[in-house]
Amino acid sequence: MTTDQLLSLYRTLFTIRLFEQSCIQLYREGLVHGYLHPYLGEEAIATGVCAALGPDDYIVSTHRGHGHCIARGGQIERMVAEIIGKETGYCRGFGGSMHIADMETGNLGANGIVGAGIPIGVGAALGATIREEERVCVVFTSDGAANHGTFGEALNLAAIWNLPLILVVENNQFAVSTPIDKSSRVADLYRRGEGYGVHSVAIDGNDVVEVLHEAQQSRQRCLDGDGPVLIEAKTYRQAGHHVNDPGSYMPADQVAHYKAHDPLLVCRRHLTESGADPSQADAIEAEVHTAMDAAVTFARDSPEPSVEDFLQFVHDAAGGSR
Amino acid sequence: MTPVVMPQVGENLTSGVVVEWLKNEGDVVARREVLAIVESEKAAFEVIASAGGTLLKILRPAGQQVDVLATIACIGEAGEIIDLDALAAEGPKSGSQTSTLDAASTATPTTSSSSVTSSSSGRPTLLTPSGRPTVGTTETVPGHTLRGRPFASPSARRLARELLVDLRGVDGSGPAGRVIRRDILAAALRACGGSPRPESVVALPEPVVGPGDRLVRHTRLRQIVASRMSSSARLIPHFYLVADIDVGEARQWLQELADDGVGLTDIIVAAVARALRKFERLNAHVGEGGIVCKADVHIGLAVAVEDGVLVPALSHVDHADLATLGNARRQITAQARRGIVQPDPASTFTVSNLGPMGVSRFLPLINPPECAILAIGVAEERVVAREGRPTIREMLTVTLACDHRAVDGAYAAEFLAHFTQILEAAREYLVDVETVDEPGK
Amino acid sequence: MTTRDLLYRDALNEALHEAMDLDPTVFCIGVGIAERGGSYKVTDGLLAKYGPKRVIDTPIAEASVVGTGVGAAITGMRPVVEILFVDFSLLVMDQLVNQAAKLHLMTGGQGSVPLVLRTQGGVGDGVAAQHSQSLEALFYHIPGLKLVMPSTPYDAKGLLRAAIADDGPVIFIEHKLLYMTQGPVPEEEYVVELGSADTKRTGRDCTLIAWSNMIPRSLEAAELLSAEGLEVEVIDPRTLVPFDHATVLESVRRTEHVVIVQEAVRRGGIASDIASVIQAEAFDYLDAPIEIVAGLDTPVPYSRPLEQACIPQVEDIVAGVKRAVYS
Repeated sequence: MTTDQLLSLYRTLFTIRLFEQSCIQLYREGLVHGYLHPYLGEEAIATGVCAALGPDDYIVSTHRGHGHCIARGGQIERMVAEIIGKETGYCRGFGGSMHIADMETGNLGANGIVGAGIPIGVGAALGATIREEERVCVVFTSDGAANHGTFGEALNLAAIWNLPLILVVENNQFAVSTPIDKSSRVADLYRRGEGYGVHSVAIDGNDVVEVLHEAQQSRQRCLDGDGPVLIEAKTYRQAGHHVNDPGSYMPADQVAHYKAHDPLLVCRRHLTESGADPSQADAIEAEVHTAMDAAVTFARDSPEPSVEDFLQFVHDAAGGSR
Repeated sequence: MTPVVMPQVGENLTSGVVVEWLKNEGDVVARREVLAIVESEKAAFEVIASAGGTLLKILRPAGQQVDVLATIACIGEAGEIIDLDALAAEGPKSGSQTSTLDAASTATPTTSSSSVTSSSSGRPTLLTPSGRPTVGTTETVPGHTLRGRPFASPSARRLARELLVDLRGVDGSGPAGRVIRRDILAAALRACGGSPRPESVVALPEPVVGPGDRLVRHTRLRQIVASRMSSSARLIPHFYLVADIDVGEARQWLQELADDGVGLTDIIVAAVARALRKFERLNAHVGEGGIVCKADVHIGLAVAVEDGVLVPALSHVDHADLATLGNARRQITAQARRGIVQPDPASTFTVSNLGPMGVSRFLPLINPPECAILAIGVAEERVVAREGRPTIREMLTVTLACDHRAVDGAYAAEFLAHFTQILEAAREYLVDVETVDEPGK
Repeated sequence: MTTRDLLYRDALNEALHEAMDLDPTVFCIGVGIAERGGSYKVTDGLLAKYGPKRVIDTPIAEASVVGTGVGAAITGMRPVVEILFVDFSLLVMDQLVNQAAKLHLMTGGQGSVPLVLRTQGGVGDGVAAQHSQSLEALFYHIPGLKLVMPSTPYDAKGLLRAAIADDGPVIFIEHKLLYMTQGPVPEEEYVVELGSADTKRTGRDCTLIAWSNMIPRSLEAAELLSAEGLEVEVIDPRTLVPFDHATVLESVRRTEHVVIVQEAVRRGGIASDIASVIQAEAFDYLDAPIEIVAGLDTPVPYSRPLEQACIPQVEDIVAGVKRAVYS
């Protein structure tokens, strides 16, 4: 890994970190309504996986989807605008945080239903094979979804059809407030893939380099026609389930342990090992701050969608009478 | 006799084909023996004898397509008589889906034969059927109102408006006396006295408001006049009688009375009231089945007001003297011009005078529910023939309109002649009118 | 235009063949649809012609199969997903309602879900409570879904072509008792546009609205009533969402008596919604309350006479019309 590559990864990591913090701030100011699920602490997974993808690949996201969107090349101004419900947002303000999507980069969307994205990802991969295209589909999912019906069903379908699907289980060890040891007898979720005949691995989700390498290998497996891959990326949330959840159920020692293993710190360590100067990372942070400020200003200044435009959209979509 | 049936060959399959008979007519067969092979679209099946005996008759030979559960053969005692016609006419036995789409089957679908009695009894009701009145019969009152509103279907109400039928007078043939469309149509038919097809009662075309045109919406009064006059024109069979009357004597009497408060109109009105004494059918209100001859004579006077006409009534005209009449006339006219008309008493006969405006004669519309109306034309000098020689007399023309449901031409003519007589010799006939001290009752 | 008689299921089969021929993005997926040609033979012959990539058998995992359809649709395919019984569609409600119906809106128009969900419902012959339902009201209520229920082979073929060509999700509900019914179908290709009702029988005395298997029953009732001098106008909406109110209202304004026949359970059924629109838009043209003849509010029992008592029969429809016209 070269310094430049690492710096590029660091930029993404920091952008996600700052983005989430900014959104929380906007929430506190009352500009964000409804639900916001910060990706704080998990940035390395989205960053590493998306860095391994080609331009034609698909990703399917979760309710905690800002990180995926950014890592896949999403423009932060349009993201902030969407999250505060402005017309200039990716989804014209119709979707919000939980449904943010960027089809141009193959981001098929965040999803408010846990586990719903997995079969959708299977479908995207299936379509690609029918059309005989060289694409993979990455489905980000959660430890919470691993106990959902669609998890097993969809993994099985991907397996029997030998689809180019990479299922990335972001195991942040809590499903809302239920810790993993209360919801699963076997904490190593990747072992479930073995039952379906799927090549399955577990990795340190806080080490962006490890994530990237595993993702690259998995992608190649898929393109080689060797079938789907399940990657369990172990990580930890640095906040509660959503913006109003203080996460008081998260044991202090665990929180401290993972704070010391913060993905940004880990990446900085890699940078130092590669011979980079800390000031380079600092400079990137400064640039990201500037870009973030501009994005927030853009979003604040953007108009809200008009009811007339919305009704016209609905009318056009319904294709006719009531 | 035990029937052998085409077996149920699969879900939603309604027929099978007899492939091969393994036994012949007359063969003795045992219970559970295979009699034939049949086939569906999907698979082949054995037909098993459900009882032992002689295979009396094969009804459907090999190669035939047979409805599922139809009888294909009979097993019984040798020599047993079987009713082939009954067997042939029989539909599929209970348990099968009757093919109601098979052209050969009967029109009414047969439901399960033995376990359900006839369809009119024992069927569970599919919830509360509507069409039953949602009001109790005690809530509606004669005249069929529900809380003061006519108890009628929306369609009936709309039609009543369009056909100018008074809902209050229509009996409802719907549940609990609901007035429904056919009741309105029947009422309209009766009112017209003929049988116009309902389609001929068409709404008039709406005018178009073009550039420069001015739309003047009907005021409330205009609407009322429009509605009443439309009803009158449409539902009352008018006929008209015209008479020219010599008012010279009356005019002279007026000059002698030298009372500014009394005019020719008052004498005319008094004459009408006097004449009506002998013609009670014209001092009446007309209904569907009869007329109500009114005890008192209250003469309505048509008064032109700003955007319509009002008809206040002069009460007890037959008991009033001329001065009282004159006063009353002025009073009600002034009130009417301010929009006030006393509802009591209701007029029993109406007089409409366009004489002061120079109209020589006109055909008035009856003021329902009255039976008749008298139109008065202008009093003017005319050349008339008297005893073979032309002379100048002050004449006016009256037109009497009558409701032909209540009165006929001869009766009306007699009234008109009597009225003419009275008016032409007003002074003599109305002498007691001049001096009565007690106005009104 | 030359026609030939086809079975309803064969008309559907023809539509699938034509659509798959025309457009390589159309593919079929469902339980037992490939090798076996489908439990009702609607997908017969497709595997041989189009191969296993486009005619896919699935394990019993309905939710994920529909989800797979959604994912394929949103990335450029036109899947025709078969769910064997409408009763099983309850297992796929999240993918249908929260995903398929909403993705177009939630993404601000970035994505479309041109998915057809084919299924069948209705009372058959003793298949009992969990296989006899008419659940169209559930889909009717979800914005973002279109809903089609053909009653004849002609309508079935033309509507399936239109459904596949539509850019949004379409729920296409067939009826288990209609598969083997016959009717004329043109030789040439044709499409029946979604959202247009069909007046199957004209009449001046009463407007009767029915769909799916209640159409043949209503037509039979109409013939019986005609013998008594009552002429019933039978309107088949064919598409329930979007609904062709104009055709229905025009008829109601002429006849002023309305009967709606629905196999589904009375409570909360589509008939109630149709009735509410009629009373709102043609109030002054109603001579009688709108009559609804519908299924009983109960799961369907197994025993045959009980089963038949739970849904409208011809005599119930006749009685309903008579009540509506004060006969």
